[in-house]
Amino acid sequence: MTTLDRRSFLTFLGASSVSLVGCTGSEDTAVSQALDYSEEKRQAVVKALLDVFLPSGGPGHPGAAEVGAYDTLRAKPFVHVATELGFLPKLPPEWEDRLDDIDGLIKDILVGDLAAATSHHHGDRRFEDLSLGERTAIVEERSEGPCRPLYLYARAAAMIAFFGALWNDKGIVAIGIPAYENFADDLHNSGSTDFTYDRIPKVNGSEPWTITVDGDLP
Amino acid sequence: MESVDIAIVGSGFGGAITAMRLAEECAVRGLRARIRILEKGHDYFNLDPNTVWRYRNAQGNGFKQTMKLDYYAQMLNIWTDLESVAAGAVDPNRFPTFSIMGGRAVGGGSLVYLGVSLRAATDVFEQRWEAGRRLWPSMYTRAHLNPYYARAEGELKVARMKWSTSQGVPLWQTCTKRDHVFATGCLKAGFTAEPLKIALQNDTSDGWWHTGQRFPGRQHLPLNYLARAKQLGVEIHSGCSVSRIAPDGRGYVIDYRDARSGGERKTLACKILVVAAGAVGSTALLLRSEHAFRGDRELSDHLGRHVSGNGDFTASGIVGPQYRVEGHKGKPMSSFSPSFWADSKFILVPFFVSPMPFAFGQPAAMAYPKNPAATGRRSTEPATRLWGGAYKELFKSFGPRLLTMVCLGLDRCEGEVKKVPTLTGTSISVEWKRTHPDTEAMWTKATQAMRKIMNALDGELLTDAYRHRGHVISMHPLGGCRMAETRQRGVVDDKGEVFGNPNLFVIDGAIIPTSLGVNPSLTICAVAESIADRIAPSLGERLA
Repeated sequence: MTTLDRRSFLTFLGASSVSLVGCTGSEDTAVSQALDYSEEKRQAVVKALLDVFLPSGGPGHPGAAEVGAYDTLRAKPFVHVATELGFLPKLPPEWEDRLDDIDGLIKDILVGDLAAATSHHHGDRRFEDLSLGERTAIVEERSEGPCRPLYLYARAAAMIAFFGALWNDKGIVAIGIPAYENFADDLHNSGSTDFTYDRIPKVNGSEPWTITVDGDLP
Repeated sequence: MESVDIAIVGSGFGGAITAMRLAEECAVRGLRARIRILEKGHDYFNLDPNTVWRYRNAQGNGFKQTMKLDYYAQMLNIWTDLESVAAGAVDPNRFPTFSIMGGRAVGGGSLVYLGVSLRAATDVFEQRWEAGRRLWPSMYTRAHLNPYYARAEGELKVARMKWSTSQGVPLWQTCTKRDHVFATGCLKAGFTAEPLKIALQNDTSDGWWHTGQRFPGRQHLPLNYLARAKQLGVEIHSGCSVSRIAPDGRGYVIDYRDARSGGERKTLACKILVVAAGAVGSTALLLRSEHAFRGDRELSDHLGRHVSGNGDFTASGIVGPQYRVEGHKGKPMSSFSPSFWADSKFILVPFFVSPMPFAFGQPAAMAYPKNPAATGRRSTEPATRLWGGAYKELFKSFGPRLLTMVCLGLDRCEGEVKKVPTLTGTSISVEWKRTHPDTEAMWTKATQAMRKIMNALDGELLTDAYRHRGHVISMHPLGGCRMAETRQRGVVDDKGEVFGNPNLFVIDGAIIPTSLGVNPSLTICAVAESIADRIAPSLGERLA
């Protein structure tokens, strides 16, 4: 396994999780067309996929698009994070310098798989043009199929971008956690002077009692 | 080949304490010994003059205080059950997924711990399971460790929090809003809550416990043990990832890669070798090296077994609208409820960590695209779809009313660290075997207690990774190189010395024979202090 092409990458993934053989090997016309998509079209498909995981809901309701999920999926370090989390097997050393190629392969496989499913269910329509409900149904189906590891990989990118506030704090603000200070300059502080009640808790006149000895379990 | 007298692999609690105490002993006795720490992670505190990590922030330390992905990837070590995660985390016919999170930097786990410093209860050391044998070596009791606990508390500046400044403490030493809400819930449910002992000084800001703080409040090892070790001449080499160790005559050799010289492969010889890379790290290193230990030096077949998650079990819920938890403000932990220890051997601690490490710690939660509760696996909670708009809206409703609690208790060490074959060699994975009925019963009681507290706060217990997804997550792994009286029962003796291998020690969480039921850092410190005291008399002979 020294060359990095689709076959070797699929074999690499399949050996550690489930077989991907056939998931993009179809002669389906839609898949062939999808593989010839321009970068812009491929990006549109992947973004439409990420939107299924965390849909945008207008102002105050950010989704994958607003929190930079696509950029997370594209980020080189994400390959290593995903490996740490178990979404990808550890890359062979000779592939370590070819993360851009791996990035492209992952998107190729997802775009092809979604094109095949869209063609099967919706004829000539394209995945990115489907409604959220239609896209969701396709992703539910395909994420149970042989390409599952890559759907989980994409979903992890969306979730980490949203809850991890990697690119901006829109996601965490939307769930009620205050914005980070000075986010733009990389110095943040989640603390606050307003962090204490500074009083002894009381419920119906009762205060907490002590079981410990000097703070430790006996 | 370069050589030193004492090499220490890892700079967490076990490694830092051993380095400092042995250096002190050498100084006192006039022994000219060269001591070197090899640490895989970066140095954020300028203890290694040759570190490749040059960044310094406005507070003068190396923490970037950033949410960037590559930074978290550098700071955290995550081990998980690769096979289960890849398979989608939950297979009713397989074991639950096991994930473990630890620190990776000079200072080890102390850079990602929450400073909680409790002594383990007396009955922890008296545990006996079916075989009826005491699991800890006979010399270890709470009474034996008490002076060592006190010594570590002094070095780490452990302070007991209080509810109010009216109790004679400064504001930084008081509990957070989150703790007050938790205490209110406990009181209403008939339980009590008490302030925690924390390795903390003068911290008024409290943010960023996982990625460095604006103010050096939390007492991590580079502020105390490691700083003192460096003063005593201990060399601290960061970015040095040890791949294998092997016996070599009367000493040992270490193979490692040095990131400071472009990842160059190096070999270091030493007379005394201390492995202190954490429960998983130390166990993994011995597993990778076991082929080099033959005949009388063969490692015990207990290696990799008896790994405890320390009973870690986390659940979250939303309290009633009249309560403001605002969990993100203040110390991430500062109170706990000991009400359940006497009968059920667990404690509950309310806590909050910033979302990113929380997400990192839950790969299965991140992985599973549908609600596996639908499979009926252990679920007692309402179904929640784990992606899409509904999931996002659920999280939105959490906000300042989110109260997360962790149970720490006595499990049955159901975990295992093991080598797994990969296409490029072997990798280290962790696995959680079938949960023992005693552990299951403890977690059931913990869930019931958490639900009672939530109900008392007019709230609802919502999420719980284990019950929902069969996923055991531990921030407090212990075991893997169990300490025992004989090699038939463990990997190391009561001094941490590997059976059959003089002068090879494991001194960290890996040797702790059982779960502790409280945050384990202080007990690891106390055990390391005790071992250092007992190695000291023979140090000259060992170095001869």
